[in-house]
Amino acid sequence: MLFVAGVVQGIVLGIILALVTSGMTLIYRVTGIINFAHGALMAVAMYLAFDLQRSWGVDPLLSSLAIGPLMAIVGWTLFQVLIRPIRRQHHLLAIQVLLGLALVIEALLLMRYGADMRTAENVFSGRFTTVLGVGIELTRIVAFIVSVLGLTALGIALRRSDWGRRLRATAADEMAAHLVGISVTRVEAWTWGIGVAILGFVGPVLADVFKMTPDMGLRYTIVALMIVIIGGGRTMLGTIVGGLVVGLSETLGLLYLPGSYGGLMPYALLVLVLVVNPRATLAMVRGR
Amino acid sequence: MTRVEYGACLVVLLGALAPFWLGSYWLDIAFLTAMYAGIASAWNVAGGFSGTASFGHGLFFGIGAYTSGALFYHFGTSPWLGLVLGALLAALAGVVIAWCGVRYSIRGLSFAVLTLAFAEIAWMFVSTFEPLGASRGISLPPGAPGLASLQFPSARASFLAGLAFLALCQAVAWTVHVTPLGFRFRAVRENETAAQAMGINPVLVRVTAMALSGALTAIAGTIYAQYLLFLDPRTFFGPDVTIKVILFTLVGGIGSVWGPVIGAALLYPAGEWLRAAFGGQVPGLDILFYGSLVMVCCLTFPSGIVGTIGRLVGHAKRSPTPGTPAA
Amino acid sequence: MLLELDAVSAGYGKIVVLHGVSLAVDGGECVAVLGSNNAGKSTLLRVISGLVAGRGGRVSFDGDDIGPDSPGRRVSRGLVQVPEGRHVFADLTVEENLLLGGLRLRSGARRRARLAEMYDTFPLVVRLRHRQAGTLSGGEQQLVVIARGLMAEPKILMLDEPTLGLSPVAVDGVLDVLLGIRKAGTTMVVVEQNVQLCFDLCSRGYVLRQGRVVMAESMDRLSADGLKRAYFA
Repeated sequence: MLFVAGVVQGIVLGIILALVTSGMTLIYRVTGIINFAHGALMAVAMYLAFDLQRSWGVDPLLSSLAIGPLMAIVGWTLFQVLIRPIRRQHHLLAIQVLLGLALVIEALLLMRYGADMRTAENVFSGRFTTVLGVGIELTRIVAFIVSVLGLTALGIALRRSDWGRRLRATAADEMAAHLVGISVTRVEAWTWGIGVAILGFVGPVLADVFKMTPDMGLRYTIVALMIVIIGGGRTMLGTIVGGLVVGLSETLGLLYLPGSYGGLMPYALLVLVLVVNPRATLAMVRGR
Repeated sequence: MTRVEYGACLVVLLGALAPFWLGSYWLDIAFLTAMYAGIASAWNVAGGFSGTASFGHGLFFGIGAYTSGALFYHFGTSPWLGLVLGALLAALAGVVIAWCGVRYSIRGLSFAVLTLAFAEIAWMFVSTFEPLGASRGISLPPGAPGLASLQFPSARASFLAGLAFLALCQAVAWTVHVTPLGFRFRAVRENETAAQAMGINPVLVRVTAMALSGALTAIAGTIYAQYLLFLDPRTFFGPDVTIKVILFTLVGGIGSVWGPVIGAALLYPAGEWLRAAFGGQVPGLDILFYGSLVMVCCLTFPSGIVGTIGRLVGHAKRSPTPGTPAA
Repeated sequence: MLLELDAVSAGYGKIVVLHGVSLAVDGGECVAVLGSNNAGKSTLLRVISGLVAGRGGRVSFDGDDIGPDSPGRRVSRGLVQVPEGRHVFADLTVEENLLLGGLRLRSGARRRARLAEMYDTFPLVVRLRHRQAGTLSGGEQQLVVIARGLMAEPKILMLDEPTLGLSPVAVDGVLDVLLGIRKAGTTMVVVEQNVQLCFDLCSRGYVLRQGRVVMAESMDRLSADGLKRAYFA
C-alpha cells in the first residue's frame, strides 16, 4: 500500500516536472543553451499569480491564461536582449548571464514579496481525492491533468505543425535550416518565447502545489537540468521519462530511506545515467 | 606571459599591499577577496586551461573544510594535518570524477552537470550525517591563535594567510601555464582527438587538472573553516562558491593566468560594498546590483577583461578562448 | 544574367579566402566551378547563399543586389543551395525533410503537389519517405538533399560537391538525377572535384585557384591539360 502510494505520488510529480522541464529541453535543443534562469522564471510566474490573487482575487487557474502569453513575451525579449549577443561565445558565458538574471529575479522577488513562504490557492485547494486508494491533494491532480494536456499538445505541435518541423529542423542542422529558408534567429526567439511561456502557464497552477520562496529558482533549475540530462535532452518522450525517473525516485526514496537521504536518490540516479548510458550523454555532447 | 598580464600582475601586487593601510573591515574583505581569487584561479586550472569545467567545486571546498574541521573537532588533530589530508582527499575525488568523465566520455556541459551532481550528493549527505553535524553544522572550538592552529589573531594576519594561499594558487597556475604540461592541457581543451593523436593522454591531463584544482580548493576550504570556526553544509558544499568563482573567472578572462584574480579583485569587493551600502536598507537590493553587474560584465566583456584589454592594446598574444566555435 | 558576381571578396576572421571573384550565370545554363581543395569554391557558394558575408563586391540575382539579404530571403527569391556533406535533417523523416525544402511555396496545397512531383522524379525516395533521414546511406541522403532543394522550385540550384564520398554506383545515380534536372531547364551551379561529371553535365566552367578566377571557358575548351595547369601551377 505504501508502495502504491509512492508510485502514484511519484508519477503525478514526475509528469508535472516533465512539463516544467519541457521548456528547458526545447531551448536546449534549438539554441544549445541551458536556461539557468528556468526555475527563477517559474518563480516569477508563480508570484505573479499570487499577486493577482491577493490584489484582485483572481484564481490562479484563470490568471495562468494571462501569465502564459506574458511570459512568452518575456522569453522572446530575454533572447533578443541577453542571449542573441553572446550565443556564439563560450557556452559558460550564457550560463553565467542567466545565473545573473536568476539572481536579479530572486532579488526583485525578495524585495517585493519578502522571504516568507507563500502559496496561491485555487478553487480546488484544500480538497483531497483518492486515486487507486491513495489520498492526494486535488490541486496536484489538477496540475497533473494540466501537465498531461500540455505535454500532449506540445508533442502534437512539434510532430505535426509546420512550426514544429521548423523547430526540429533547426535543432537538427542549423546550416541546412538556413539553406531551406528557415529564419534560424526567428526560430530561436520563438523557442525562447514558448519555452518560457510554458512556465507562465504551469507556474500559477503549481502555486499551491509547490511552495514559493524567492530563492526557489536555483533548486528547480537543477531539478529540470537533471531531467533534461536523464532524458537525453533531445525529445519530449525523453523529458517525460526523465521526469518520471526523478519524480518516482524522489518520492520512493523519501518513503523508504531514513531521514532526508531519499532526496539523494535523483542525484544518484543522474550519476548512474551519465555513467552507464553513453547514448543519453552523447546527445548532450554533440558539438555545441 | 603577455605585457598585459605583467601589468595586471603589478596592479594586483599593489592592490595586495594596499590593505596594510586599511581598517579591519576592509582587511576582512581583502582576505576573502584573496581566497576567492585563489579558488577562481584553481578552478581556472581545470576549467580554463584544460577545458574540464566543473560546477561542483563546492565538493572540494567542503571536503577541505570538513576533513580538517571534523578531525579538529572530534580528535583535536592539527588543522595542518587536516589541510594536507583534505587536499589529498579532494585530489582523489577530483581524480575519480575526471576519470569517470573521460572513461564514459562525459564532456563539456554534461561533465559540468556530473560535477554538480557529485557536489549536491555530498551536500545532502553531509546535511543528514550526524557525526558531521548534519544540517545544524559544527561549531569549531577556538584554539590558541597562531599559525599552528590556522586561527589568526588579527584581520591582517588572516589577510596574509589569504595572500599566501593566493600566491600558492598563482604559482601552481603559472607553472602549469608555462611548462609543457600547460601545452598538453590546452591541446586537450582545443581538440581531444587531435591531442590523443599527438600522443597526449587525455585521461592523464584531465585527472591531473582536476586533482590540482581540487586540492587547491580544499586548502581554501580548510583555511576558510578555521577562519569562520563554523562548518555548515550550504556554505561549503553548496553551489554558491562555484558560481561566484566561475563568474570571477569569466569576467576576468578564462584560460589566462591572471584573469580569475583580476575578476575576483574587481567583483568581490564591489559586491561587499554594495551589500554594506544597500543591503541593510532594502533586502535584496545588493543581490539585484550584483546580478545586474554579472550580466553587464558578461555582455560587455564576452572575452573577459584580460582578453578585452589585450585586444584593445593589441599586444597580447592571446591563447584562444576555449570552446569558441570555429567559423 | 540571372546570377552575377562582381569582384566579390570574402573570408573568415583575418583570413581572406576570395579575392575579387567575378562570375555570371545565365538562365538555363549549367555552370561548373572547379579547383583544388581550399581554392574557395565552397566559400563562393556560401557567399552567394548568404551564409558568409561578402566583404566587398556585389552579388546580384535577377537584377537585384542581394548583398543585404538574409539566407532565408535568398531562398525565397529562388536561390537554393544543396550543401556539401549532405546535411539532411537527421532526426526528421525523409518526407518532413522534403516538406521543409518547400517552405518557399507559401500554400500547403502547392507544397503537397510539388512533393508528389518529387516522388515521381525520385522513385527511390518514395520508398524511404517514412524513414528517419539520418539512417539512410550516403547516396540516399544525397538524393534526399537534392530533392529537398528542388522542392523549392529553385531558379538556380547550387550543388556543393554532390558526389563527395559516394560509391561509384551512387555517383552514377546522382549524375542521372542531375542530367534530368538540367533537361527540365533548371539553372545549375555545380562545385565538383569529379571533373568527368562536370564534363558530362556542364556547358561552361570557372576554375578557381587561391580565391581567384584563373579560367572561365566553355567546357570543351577546358582541356584536361589546362585544368592540370590550373590545379598544380
